[in-house]
Amino acid sequence: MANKRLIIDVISAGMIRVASVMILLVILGVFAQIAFTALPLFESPSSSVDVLPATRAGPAAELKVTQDSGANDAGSLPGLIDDHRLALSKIDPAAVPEPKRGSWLDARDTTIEQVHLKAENDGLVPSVLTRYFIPAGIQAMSNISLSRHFVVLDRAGVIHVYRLGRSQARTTFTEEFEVSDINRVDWLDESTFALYSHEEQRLVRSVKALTNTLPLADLFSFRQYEGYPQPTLTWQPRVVDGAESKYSLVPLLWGTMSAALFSLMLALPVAMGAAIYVGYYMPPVFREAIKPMIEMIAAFPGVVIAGIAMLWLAPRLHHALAECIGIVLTVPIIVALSGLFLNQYFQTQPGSYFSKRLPMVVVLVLVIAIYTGAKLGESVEGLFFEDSVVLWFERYYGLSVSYFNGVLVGIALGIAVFPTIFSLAEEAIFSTPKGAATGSLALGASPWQSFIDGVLPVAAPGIVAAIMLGLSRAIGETMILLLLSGNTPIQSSNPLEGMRSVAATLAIELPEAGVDSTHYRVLFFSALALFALTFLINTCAQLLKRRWRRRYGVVA
Amino acid sequence: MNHPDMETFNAFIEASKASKTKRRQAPSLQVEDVSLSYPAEPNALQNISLEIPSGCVTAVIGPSGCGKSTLLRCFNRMNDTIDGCRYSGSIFLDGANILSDGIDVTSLRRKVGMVFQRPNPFPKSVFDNVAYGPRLAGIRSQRQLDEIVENALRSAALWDEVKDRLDAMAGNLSLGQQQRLVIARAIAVEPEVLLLDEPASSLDPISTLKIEELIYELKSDYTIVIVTHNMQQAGRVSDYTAFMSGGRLIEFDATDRIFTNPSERATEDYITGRVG
Amino acid sequence: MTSGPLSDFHGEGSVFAAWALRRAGVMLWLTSGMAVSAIVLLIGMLGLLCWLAFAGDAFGAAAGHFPGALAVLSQGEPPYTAEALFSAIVGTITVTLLMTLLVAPLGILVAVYLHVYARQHWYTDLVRIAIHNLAGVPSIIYGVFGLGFFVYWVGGGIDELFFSDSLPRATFGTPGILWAAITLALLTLPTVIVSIEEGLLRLPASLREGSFALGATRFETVVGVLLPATMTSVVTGVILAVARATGEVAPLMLVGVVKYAPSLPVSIEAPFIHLEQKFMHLGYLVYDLTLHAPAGNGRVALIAVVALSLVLVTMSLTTFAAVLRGRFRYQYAQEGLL
Repeated sequence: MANKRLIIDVISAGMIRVASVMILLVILGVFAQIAFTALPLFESPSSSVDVLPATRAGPAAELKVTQDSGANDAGSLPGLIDDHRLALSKIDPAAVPEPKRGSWLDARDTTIEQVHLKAENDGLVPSVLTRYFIPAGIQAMSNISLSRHFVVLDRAGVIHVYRLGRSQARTTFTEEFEVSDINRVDWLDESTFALYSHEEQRLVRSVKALTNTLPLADLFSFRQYEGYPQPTLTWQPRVVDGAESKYSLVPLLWGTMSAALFSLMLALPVAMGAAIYVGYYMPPVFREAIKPMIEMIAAFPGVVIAGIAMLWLAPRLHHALAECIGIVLTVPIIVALSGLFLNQYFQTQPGSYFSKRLPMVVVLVLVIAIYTGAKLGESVEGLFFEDSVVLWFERYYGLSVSYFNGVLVGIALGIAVFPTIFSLAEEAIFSTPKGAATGSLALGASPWQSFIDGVLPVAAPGIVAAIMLGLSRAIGETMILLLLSGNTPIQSSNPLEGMRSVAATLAIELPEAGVDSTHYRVLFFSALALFALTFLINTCAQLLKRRWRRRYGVVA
Repeated sequence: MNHPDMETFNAFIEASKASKTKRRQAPSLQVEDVSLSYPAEPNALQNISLEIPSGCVTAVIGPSGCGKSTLLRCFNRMNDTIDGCRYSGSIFLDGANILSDGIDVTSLRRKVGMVFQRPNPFPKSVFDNVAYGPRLAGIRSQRQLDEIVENALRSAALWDEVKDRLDAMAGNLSLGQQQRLVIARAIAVEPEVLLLDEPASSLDPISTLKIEELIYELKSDYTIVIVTHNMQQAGRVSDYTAFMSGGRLIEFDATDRIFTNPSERATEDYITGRVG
Repeated sequence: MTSGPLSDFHGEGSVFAAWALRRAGVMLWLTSGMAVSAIVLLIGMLGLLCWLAFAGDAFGAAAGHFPGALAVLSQGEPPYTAEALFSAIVGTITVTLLMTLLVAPLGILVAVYLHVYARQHWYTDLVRIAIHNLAGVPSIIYGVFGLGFFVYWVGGGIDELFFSDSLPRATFGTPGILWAAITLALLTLPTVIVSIEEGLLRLPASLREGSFALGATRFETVVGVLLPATMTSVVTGVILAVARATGEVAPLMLVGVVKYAPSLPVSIEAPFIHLEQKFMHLGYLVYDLTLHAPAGNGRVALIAVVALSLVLVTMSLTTFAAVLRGRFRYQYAQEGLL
């Protein structure tokens, strides 16, 4: 009997251990898996070229060897313009041989030039973007692959793999064969190219090159792109085949952070005020009822908040911007003023701790203040801004205003992060031992002074942790940004323009990115960055909270 | 598995099973040179040796933190549940060293029952609390369980108070009743030794009195070791008393002797209230 | 004016004291205003949703009312029909149930391991911090992980092993309801673990000791005493997980939710549930309707109704969890165990 029980115990203990450790590994493996997918992006490309046997690609006779049309093999792009020029993007056939837009490669003996039409003054000026030098002379040159690589075989038998926009060959290697036989190089798919002997209609070699890598610096630094007047930070993954992919994460990070900051600007004051009131002023009996009620705001999923904002708020916000600004500016002033002059009447009533009746009065004051603020905003707009703040700024300052903008995102995201900040900050304030504050009150300090001196110093780490967790929530929120930000990857500090965040980009683009393509890996890298950022913020907040608990022995 | 202590111990278990129906002779506990350390407290017990006589109540007294509870928890190896606890020496229960590695701790704990400072009923009904141990032992028959539960509750002098609400949650009993329930729970597995760790410290005087009466009645069937910081209680209920201080055993003798004519100065100081 | 310490107090001191009181009044009113506005916000959002859903013709041609919404469904284009709404409801329930089936045992396992079996070292602490943190990691990250790991790697592997004859058409190597449920389970697992472990921590140590002292093994103690005693915290954790999962859309967009699924993920024929199928989801329906549905009579009302039901489900689940937790604490306080 005892033995059976013991055996069950030992076996169950072993199973629980193994299973839990595996589950924990899977959870913690989230990070590892994302990292392992993302980081090969930065592999050095030169070390990984596989030379496949010639037969792998099948007999050359089955492949159409046609130089004139181009764009007919897997992975190839718009073809030749004339005998030495290769189009890089779709070119208006009528405009050949003098293209009106786009860019092309111009190959002449030992030099290949990448030329693009650059906007300058009024017209488009052809300008050399990159020069590639092949000192031994060009024997054969491939078309452009979908990942915008091309291969050059020089007369000395050296194969160079270039990425457009970079004059350094990514991969260079020497092959043992008769160079003069080879007169054609072409892509078989996105990462494999083949060398052909034209006369014999024969495939000589096929080579797999690593084309889905990118230097880390590309994601964060200014780059000169085709058709752009100067180097820019741009996020624009391949939209159509043959277009240049622009992978700068800076606009996305900018969008993410600015949305988070807009939302905190709105949510923070309200959340902190409410937390202080509920956690410090309010009698615990009322708190029991009010706190869960306020926390119910968390029951609105991001997609619902975004839906309401898009259907109801967005059409109004555009017209009512002045009223909104008026309300935001006026309400705190009116409430503060009424506090300054009216408070003593409520405070002097004995027995009724003012918090009991105060909220009712404050509701009244709030309604009056909101009405006044809206009217004030409207009339100021009518008097000074020609009836429309938005149009006025557009007219005189050239400030662009989009339908989906930072203010809209800030309001919706603010509502989403509000419960997080409120709940945690309130907990920190409420569970602070009240001894110091009571002592301060007994010395004749006002309640607010007692809060500042007796509660705030102790609760501060918990409050900071609450704000940090709110920030991390704002950074990671997806649906609100997806619906309300307009998803325009522009970098602007104007709160009336749109933005595009990392999380929304992941939601839009990841399902469509090919597995292990450059785009896929860049997206995984941005997920990794997002993960690392939030994890870091959360860890700091956790450590702060732990220290705070240990120091004051508070169980929150 | 062929540890000599294990064999003796198993033989003892078998023997006690065989003699269940007969009037048992409760075993004695021989403690030989037991030392124990925690990471937080390296000298929790130092070279304790004493023999706890069978069929008697032995009280362990001493100032707070002197190691009396720790010593008690050696007798059923409850110290094993604390990380980093190490001990040396041996404790013989009916000839088997219960501190040796080969001992089946769960069987030992069924032979050595324990009652804690605060009543700790499981959040189950009164009946299920008492039946918990027998059920672990594999008893499934409802008739048998009824009988065991009734006997245990009668022995713990609780039957009359709870016989009508055996299905009530144990938490609804008064604290004193809860403590007697816990004692009944310990008795239900028919232990040989009963360890009481300050069993009355969280109870009111009337409940305390009831517990003490209960201890007095139980001592004919069990070897009882009680830890207490209440001098009067030790004097009232125990036959022998051990005085500990700073992890050492200072004095061990008949209770009358300890309380009237202790041989050690420290004991006298403690008993007369000059320290502690 | 007399001189001396008292006069200073009455003179300058009282001015400062008066100002301090005034300032205190301002802060009191401001903070209470914030609290009131939070409540107003909550009521306002709920009211707005109800108004959008049920108030007839609130927005002229653009809005409509609830019967209008039903009319839209009865004569709508393929993705916006009553069948689609039904499919979304079934999809939401199925994925949530699957997730619950996964997350509850896993959560119990890990929490019991951390609380009972694991030795309390610095690395157990580290694991705890990590789990707390994972609860705050953006949900889209779990979607990314689910797509990269489960869909492409595990699912692709399953396809190669068991469904190689139907390749290149992917069976499990494509987003589907199984991967969505697993992803949601991973997403909510930290919440469940934290809740159960908190419940276990709240149990007095004497409960565990009492069971050990009766000769119970660890397994018997866990199954016989600890888990029954903390059942409410298990239920609370699972409810909170469900509440969180019903609102999540972003990760689902990556691992299996679609705009329109022609067939339900469950059927009355064996095998009853089609784990590899894509499915519809109410949250995604809100997104899709908001973004893509043709503007017309009843569209706004339809969105509001779906959104309102989502919100109400989440609210009642959260409230239920809070009530359970409260009763749990009360029960233990009553029993003198806390």
